[in-house]
Amino acid sequence: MHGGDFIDMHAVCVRELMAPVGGRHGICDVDRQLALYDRIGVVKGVIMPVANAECTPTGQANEEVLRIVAAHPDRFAAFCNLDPRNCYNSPTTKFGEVLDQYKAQGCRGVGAVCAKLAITDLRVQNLFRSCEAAAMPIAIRLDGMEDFGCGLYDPPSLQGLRESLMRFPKLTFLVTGAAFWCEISVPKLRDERLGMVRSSGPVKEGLLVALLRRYPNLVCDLSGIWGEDALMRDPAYAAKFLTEFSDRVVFGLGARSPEDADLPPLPKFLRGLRDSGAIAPDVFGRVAAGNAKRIAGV
Amino acid sequence: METTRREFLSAGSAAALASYATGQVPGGEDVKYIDVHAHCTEDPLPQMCGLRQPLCCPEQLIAHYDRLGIEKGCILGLGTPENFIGGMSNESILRLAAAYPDRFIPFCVVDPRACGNTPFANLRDVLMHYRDRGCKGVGEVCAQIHLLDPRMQNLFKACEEVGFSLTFHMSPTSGWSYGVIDENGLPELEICLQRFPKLRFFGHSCAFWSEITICLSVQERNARGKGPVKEEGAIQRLMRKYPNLYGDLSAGSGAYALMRDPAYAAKFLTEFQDRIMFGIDICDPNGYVSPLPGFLRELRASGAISETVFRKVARENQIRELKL
Repeated sequence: MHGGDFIDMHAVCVRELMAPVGGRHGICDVDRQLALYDRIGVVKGVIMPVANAECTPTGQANEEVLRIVAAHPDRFAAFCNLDPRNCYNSPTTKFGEVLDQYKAQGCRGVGAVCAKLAITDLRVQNLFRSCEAAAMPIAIRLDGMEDFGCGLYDPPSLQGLRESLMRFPKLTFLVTGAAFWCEISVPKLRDERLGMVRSSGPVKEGLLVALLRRYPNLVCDLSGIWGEDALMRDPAYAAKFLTEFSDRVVFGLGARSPEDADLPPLPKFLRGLRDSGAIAPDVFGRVAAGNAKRIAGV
Repeated sequence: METTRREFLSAGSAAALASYATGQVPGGEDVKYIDVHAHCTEDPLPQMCGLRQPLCCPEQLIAHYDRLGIEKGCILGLGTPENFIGGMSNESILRLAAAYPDRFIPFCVVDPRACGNTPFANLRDVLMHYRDRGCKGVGEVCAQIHLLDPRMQNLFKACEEVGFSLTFHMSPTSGWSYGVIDENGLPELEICLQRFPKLRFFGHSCAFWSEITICLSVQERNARGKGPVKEEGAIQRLMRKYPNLYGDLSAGSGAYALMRDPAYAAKFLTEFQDRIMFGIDICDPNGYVSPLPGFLRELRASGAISETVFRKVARENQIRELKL
């Protein structure tokens, strides 16, 4: 029996460690991930396979993630991941037949899509269309750099995300990334969008909040340092934000390096908000696990 | 009954071509091939694009190998999003090779966009890691990126430094489904051969092998070769000039580059006998299988190529180049 408050809606883990980059592994293997979960009180993780060329030294098969889940059904659930360029680099690829097969194997959603493509690229939009038709939520990482790093590019107005939310109203978008979370406030620096500096200081309500109020299919994925910073930069505003959007924010860790010495700070921060009365227990419960249960059916 | 040399070289008859597909030659035990270009996954991939199973699982590939007289094969990664479903890890290839050490040789693949989509990514350390774990080469590189793109150049530099060969799939034009991009005549490849003289490039795919003769249109570049080789193309010019260009005969592209003109094939194989390698590139376990095994044996049986040339192409070049 594994105790804990949290479901990690955005887990990344592999059967064997990939090649290190700069002397550091980017992703934990299963044993290390479970050891981390036990330390911070995560009862279960939804693994999002690494499928985009830009992010890591090598990829990860959806089938590998399904094997991990089969070996640890009480600790993990699976998303499948498809790169928008998969199956011959076309905006008309019929992803539906693949998604149906992965869904039948137990995959709860698609992502995290981190390809270095514009979110408005027709291949990306085609994948969104397929996910909406398959009734599978999609996780995406939004990035402010057009040609560098990983994550779907969207310009400062988040116009591409807005259009996508409008165009696919039945598709649940789980969104994280520097370009997304910095918009919780009015970004002070261009480098915040690019992920070159960490967002900090009091929040002056930004575009992200406006999108949440307007589009019910937008869900905020707290994984990565961007989600942490968005809340921890202004605890008072974080409590207000989580309370207003208690059904639309999910706890997640994202990729963790086995070399990370520090524990991720978000669990402690969220428990602190709850224990101090800044957020109600039911708000905490939804953000920590309830929303993930609803969206991913775990 | 064996075909005579004259009959064989002038033929390309339907009956003769059909017999190649069996890959079997009377006389029992024969020299076993080493396949320089194979794919395999630990678990079946989903049905996609009309393929019931896009790639073989180990037992399926080994069954083909046993039928075709192939001792072992190099398992190449498909880490490129454009021609795959989901992702594929180099670790999974190493697991396959560890499970079937007598049949599979691990390669690794690193996409030129890996580690941040930048020409400054430290791919050398990544490749060294996989070399130290037992990988014998890099491939199949299929990214829809020009050969002279700085990210591709960064990958070539890393491969050269680590001492790997690099297998590429070439696409006939930009905006294609998958494959590295060069124009007809292979001008970008020539610059790469000059720039990275210690990197052994293993060329593969229709767009590469169509250059065995003069080839102008995208349609010609994307088709299996047909008809006699009347005029030699970029491949021969580059192979004569650059010792680091090799031919990977896998798939229909490599097989038909030879079978289009058996007489020329014998000449070509004899001239470049140290740099042409047998490969078969079986993907769908129930799909197309290259007729190359039978064709090469027929070339040998008819006397069109010598036993020495046959052995080099069938396996000895692979053993030497990959240090097997």
